[in-house]
Amino acid sequence: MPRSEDFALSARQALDDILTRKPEKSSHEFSKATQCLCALRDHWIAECGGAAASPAARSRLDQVNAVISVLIAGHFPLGKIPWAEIERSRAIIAEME
Amino acid sequence: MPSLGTSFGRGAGTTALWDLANADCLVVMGSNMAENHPVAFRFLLEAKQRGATLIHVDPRFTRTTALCDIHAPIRAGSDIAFLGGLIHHMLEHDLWWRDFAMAYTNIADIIEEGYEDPETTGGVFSGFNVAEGDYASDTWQYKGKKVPSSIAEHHAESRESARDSDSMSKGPPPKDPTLRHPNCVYQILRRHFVRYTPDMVERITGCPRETFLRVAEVLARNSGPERTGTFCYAVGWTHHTTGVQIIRACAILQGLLGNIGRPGGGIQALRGHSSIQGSTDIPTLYNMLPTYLPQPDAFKNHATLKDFLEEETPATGWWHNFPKYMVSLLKAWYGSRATPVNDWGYGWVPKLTGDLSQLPMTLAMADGVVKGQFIFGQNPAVGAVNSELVEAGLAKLDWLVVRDFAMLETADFWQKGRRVQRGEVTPAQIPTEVFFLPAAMPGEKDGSFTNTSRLVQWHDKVLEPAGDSRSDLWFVYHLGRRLRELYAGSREARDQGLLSLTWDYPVRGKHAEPDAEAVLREINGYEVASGKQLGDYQTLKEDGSTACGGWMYCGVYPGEGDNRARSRVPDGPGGNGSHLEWTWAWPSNRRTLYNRCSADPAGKPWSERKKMVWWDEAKAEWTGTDNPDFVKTKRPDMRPDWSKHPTGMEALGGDDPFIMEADGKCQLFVPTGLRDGPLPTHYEPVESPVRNLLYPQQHNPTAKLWERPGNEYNPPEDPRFPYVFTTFRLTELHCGGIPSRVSPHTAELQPEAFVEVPTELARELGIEHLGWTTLSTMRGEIEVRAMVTDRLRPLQVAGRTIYQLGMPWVFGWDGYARGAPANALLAIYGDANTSIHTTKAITCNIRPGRQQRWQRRPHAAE
Repeated sequence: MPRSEDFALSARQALDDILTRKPEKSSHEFSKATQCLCALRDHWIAECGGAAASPAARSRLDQVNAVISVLIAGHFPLGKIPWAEIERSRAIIAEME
Repeated sequence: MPSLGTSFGRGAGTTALWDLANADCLVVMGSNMAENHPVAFRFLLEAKQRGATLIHVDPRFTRTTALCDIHAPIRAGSDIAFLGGLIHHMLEHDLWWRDFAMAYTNIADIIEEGYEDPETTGGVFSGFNVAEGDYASDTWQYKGKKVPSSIAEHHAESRESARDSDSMSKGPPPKDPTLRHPNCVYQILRRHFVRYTPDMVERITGCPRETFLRVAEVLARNSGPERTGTFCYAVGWTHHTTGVQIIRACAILQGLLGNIGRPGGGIQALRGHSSIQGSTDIPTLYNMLPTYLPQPDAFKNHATLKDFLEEETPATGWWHNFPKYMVSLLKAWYGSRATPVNDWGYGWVPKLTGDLSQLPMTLAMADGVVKGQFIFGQNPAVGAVNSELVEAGLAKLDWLVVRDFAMLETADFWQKGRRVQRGEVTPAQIPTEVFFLPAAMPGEKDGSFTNTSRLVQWHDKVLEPAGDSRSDLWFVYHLGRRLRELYAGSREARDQGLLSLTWDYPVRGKHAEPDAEAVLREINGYEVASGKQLGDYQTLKEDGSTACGGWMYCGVYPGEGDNRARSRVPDGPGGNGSHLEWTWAWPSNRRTLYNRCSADPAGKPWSERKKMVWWDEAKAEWTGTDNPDFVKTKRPDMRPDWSKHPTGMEALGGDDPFIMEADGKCQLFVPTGLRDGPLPTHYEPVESPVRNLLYPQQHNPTAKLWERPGNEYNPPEDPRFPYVFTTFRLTELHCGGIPSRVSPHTAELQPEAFVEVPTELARELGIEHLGWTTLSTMRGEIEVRAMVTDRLRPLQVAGRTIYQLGMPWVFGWDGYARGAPANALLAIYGDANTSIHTTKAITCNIRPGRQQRWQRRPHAAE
C-alpha cells in the first residue's frame, strides 16, 4: 500500500519535470503531473473520510486541491502560465515527502 | 460571441427575427437554416416574396439551398477566404458605403506604427510570441491610445487591463479623413485583403469564380441608403479554430456596406437551441457572471473588489457603468450579508485559475481531476467531440448525475458504450456511480426561453410532470437548500459563500416547486430598501441600494405582477412591425441593436424606405419605430468636451452609435479583445487536405491544441485522410437526438445513421448507396451506411479535386433510430477566444465495407 510520501514523491518529480522543461503549450508533462497530484489528493480524501480525520490531514487535502488548481492554470492557461505559483506548489508538495 | 462583442459591443445577433423580412438580400452561410431554424426561415421566404434575393453559401446542397436563388458551394473551413474575397471586392471596386462607414466605423483611425500584417510576416500579426502561441496587442492600438475592449462574451479570455484606458478620455483617436495614411484602417484593410481576389477565392474555397462574383454583385447592389442585406449564420461558422474570425469578417463586410442597425440590415446569430442565448445571458459558461460581467481571475489584479473594478472598468463608453452592475449583482446574490465592509461579498465569488470550459475539462476528467459531474440537457457521449475520450473520462468519475426526459447514452455509457461494445472494458470495471433522474419537459414547468433575437419569452406549466420527474429549477433549488443545511454551522472560509446566498425563493405545491417568476424578479432587480421592482438598468447604483441578478434583463419585470416576458401582443395590420408588445427583448426592449445607425450623423433617416430611429428636434429626443439603442436625449450634434477628460457616455458623441464600445464606433479593426488577431485571416483547418495558399502559416497559430494519446490529430495533407469531413444536424432528430430518437414517430423519419458521399467518390471507391462504409481518423473508426448523393459536389481546390463527406452527429446506441456517433471521429482542440471545438472541417478516410472490429484505432501509434 503506497504511503502519502510515495504519492508526494511522484507528484514532486512530475512537477520537477515541468519546471525543468517549462513547456509553453499544453504538454504531456502537465497531464502526468495532474494524474500524480490526483492520486495524492485521493489518498488524502481517503485519510479524511472517517470521523476522526485529523486537522493535519484536512490541511494537506486543502493544499493538494489548491496545487491542482494551479496546475490547471498551467495546463489550460487563460493568460501566461503562472510559473512562480507552480514553483511554490512544487515546494508545498516537496514538504509532504 | 466575442466577434460580435468586439466588433459592435454586444455578443448577440443584431436584429429581430421578423426584421429579416425587411432585407433586400439575405445570405445564409454556416447554417442550414430551413432545417435547423425553420421558424426563423419563414421570414426569409417572406423577404423573397417581397423581392429579396436569397443566397446560400454552404458545402452541401440542402433544403435551405433549394429555396435560395443562388448556391455558392465552398469547401468546409474556407469561409474567411470567401468573406475576405467579398471585402476585397467591395474595397477595390469602391462599392462600400462611404458616408456610413466614415461616420460610424473606425475605418479612418490610425493604428500604431509598429503594426505588421500577415502579408509581410508569413501569416502572423505583429506581437506574436512563437513559444507561447499567443499575441501581445500593443501594436494593434490606435496611435497613442490604449483601447479597452467591450465587455462581452468570453471577455475573461482577453488579457488587457482597462486601467490604461484613460487615454481614451483625453481626446479622440487620431484619424485621417482622406484615408491616405498608410496605417489608417482603410489602407490596412486594403493591404491585408489584397490577395483575396476572385481567382484566389476559387482556388481556396472551390467556389467557381463566376458564382462568387454574382454573390458579390447582389450583395453590393442591395446595400446603401435605400437597401439592406443581412447575414444569417449558425454553428457552421462558430465550430472552427477560426470561428470567431469568420464572424469578424462578416462584421467588417456589414460595417463597410452599412448593413448594421437598420431595417433588414444586420447579422443574425442563429442560436443552436431553444435558450442558448439565455444560457449565455444568465450563463452556464464558466467564465462569465450574469449578463456578461467578467468572472474574477486569481492571476489578474482582482484580489479585492476595488482592484477588480479598476482593472475591468473602461474609462469611456457605456461599460463605464460596470461597477453599478457588479455591486447590484452581489447584493442580489448575498442580500443583507453583502456590505461595504466585506466588499459586498466579492471575496465569495470564485476566482478562475485556468480554462475550465468543456474541452479542457474533458481532458482533465480523463486525468482524474474531476470527481463528479452534473449533466443537464446535454448528451456528451454523443454530442461532444472525441466521444470515446468523453466515455473514458466519465468512467473516471466517482459519481455522475444525468437529468433528462429519457435514458440516453451519457447515462448508460457504462453498460452500452462503445468501449463496452468492443469488450475493452466491462461494466464491472467502471466504478462511476450514475444517478439518472427524470426531468420535466418544457410544458411541465414554468420558465422562460431567451431566443436568438434576445426575446425573453415566458411559458407557463400546462400539466404536472409525470412520476418523479421534476423541473431543473426544482432540482437546483433543493440541491442548494440541502447543501446549505449540510454546511450549516461551518466556519470554513470557503463555505461562507454558499451559506451567505439569498436562497429564499417561495415554493408551492406538494413537491415544493420554486416560484420561477420570483427568480425572474430577482434577475430584473429591485430597490433594496423597499423591495420595489426596478424599471430600467439606468436606475442601478453601486452603493448597495439596488440588487439586480442580470443588469441587461432589468425591465423585464418592472413592477409587481408585471412580467413583460409574458406579453403576447403583436402589431396589428398597419403597425410598424417592431412588435414591441410581443414579449420583451434585452436591452430595454430594443429589437434592433445599434439602431442609431439607421439615421445619418445629423439624426435624419438615411432614406424613407429604411427609416427606423431618428432625432425629433421638437421633442429633443430620439424616436422611431423601435426603442432607440442610444441615450434618448443626446443630441446628434453633441460632441465630447475633451478639455474636461470626459468619461463614460460623456466621451461619446451624438453620432457614435456603438455605445458599448470605448469610442462608439464599429470596430472594422479590433485593437483589443481578440487573441488571434485584429483582422480575420485565412488559415487552413488544423486538419486539412491542402496547404495554405495564402501564407506559410498553415493553421491558426493561436489554436488551443491538446494532442495526446487518444486525441491524436490528422496531419495536414496526410494521404491517409484525403477527404474533408463535416457534421450536421437533422430536422427530424432534435439536437443530441434523444428526445426524438426515443419517439417512434420521429425516429422512423430518420431511422439510422448515414454518411453523405458524393456520387463521383462513391463510384471511384466502389461504395454503394445504402451500403456499409467505414470512416476513419486518428481517433478511431466507425461504420455507417452510405447516402450516395449529388448534394455534395466535388470541388476543384488548389488545382486538384477535393471530395467532402457529411454526416449527422445526432445518432447513438439508444432509442429507435441508432447508429455510430460521428463525434467518435472528431478531435479535441479549441479556438483561442472561446475554446470552442471544431466539428465542421476535419479530414478523414472512407472505404466500402464494415469495420474490422479488432482495429479500433488502426492509425494510432500504440
